[in-house]
Amino acid sequence: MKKIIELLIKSFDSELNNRDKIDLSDALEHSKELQMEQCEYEIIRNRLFEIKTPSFSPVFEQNVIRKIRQLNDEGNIADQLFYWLVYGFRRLGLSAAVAAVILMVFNLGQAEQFSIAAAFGVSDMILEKIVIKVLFL
Amino acid sequence: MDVISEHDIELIRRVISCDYSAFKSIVEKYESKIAAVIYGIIGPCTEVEDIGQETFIRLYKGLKNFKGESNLETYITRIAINLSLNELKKRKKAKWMFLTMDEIKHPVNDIRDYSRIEQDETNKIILQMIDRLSPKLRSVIALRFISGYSIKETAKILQIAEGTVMSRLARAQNKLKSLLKPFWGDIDEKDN
Repeated sequence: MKKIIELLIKSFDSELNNRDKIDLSDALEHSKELQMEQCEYEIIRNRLFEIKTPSFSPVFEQNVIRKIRQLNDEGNIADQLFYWLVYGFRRLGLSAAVAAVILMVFNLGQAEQFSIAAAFGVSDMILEKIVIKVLFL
Repeated sequence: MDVISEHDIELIRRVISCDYSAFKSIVEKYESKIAAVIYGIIGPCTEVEDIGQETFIRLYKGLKNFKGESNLETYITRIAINLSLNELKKRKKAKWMFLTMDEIKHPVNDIRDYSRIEQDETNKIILQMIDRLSPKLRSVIALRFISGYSIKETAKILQIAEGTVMSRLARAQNKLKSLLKPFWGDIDEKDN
């Protein structure tokens, strides 16, 4: 019976092969129960096809286009900010880098030894000296 | 439905060059189909419109990368299905987070706005029963019956084999038949 029910449901949506067609029509001919099943499935399917679907509101398109415009505007602002950060800062960054290199060369020239600490002008200051300097500022 | 139409290619080209009227034409062309798909999966509720908007916004964002491997309708419908299924997941999570122990023991049906569009009583009952199907079964019911796609088209949209569509449809119809048993008197009266 299960196989016949499967064939029955399948028959609604696709063409059965000859053998399945014969099996199904034989079963339908001899079974009142199966005829009832067929009728019930047909009713459900008809009902499903009849379901009315709503359309979107009349302002749907306008809302979509408005949101897309907003999206593009936000994108433009983000692009401009990115452009400013990359290109606006480039000159400033370049000048700062040149200044830093000059300072490092100067520090190395002043120092007695060649080290990273000397290049950055970092002296071996201990905490006590820092506190005293801060207190007597 | 397999091949993208020349008209759609032209519309996409115009959208990419920032022609909003071209995108409006796409929305006009596909909105009713998309409404049916979303409605079929998530049922009658206010989120249908929001998901519809999100579908077209995602489409807009994705058009630059759209390679035309499927046609535009299939592509949009897939977006709508994914967003609708996400909505179902969200609802499921929210439901479990906010349900009281009593509601977990004695579940009540979701209260959806079934009066939003004019449906006869039978269709309202059927929509409530579709709401009880799993997301996979709901998707095939929504595409095949509510949106009216063929088995082949449904398989293409869901990216599954036609045989799988057929078996899901059979399971869905079986389940619906048993769920609708208590209401059978209301359902078959029109047909008899």
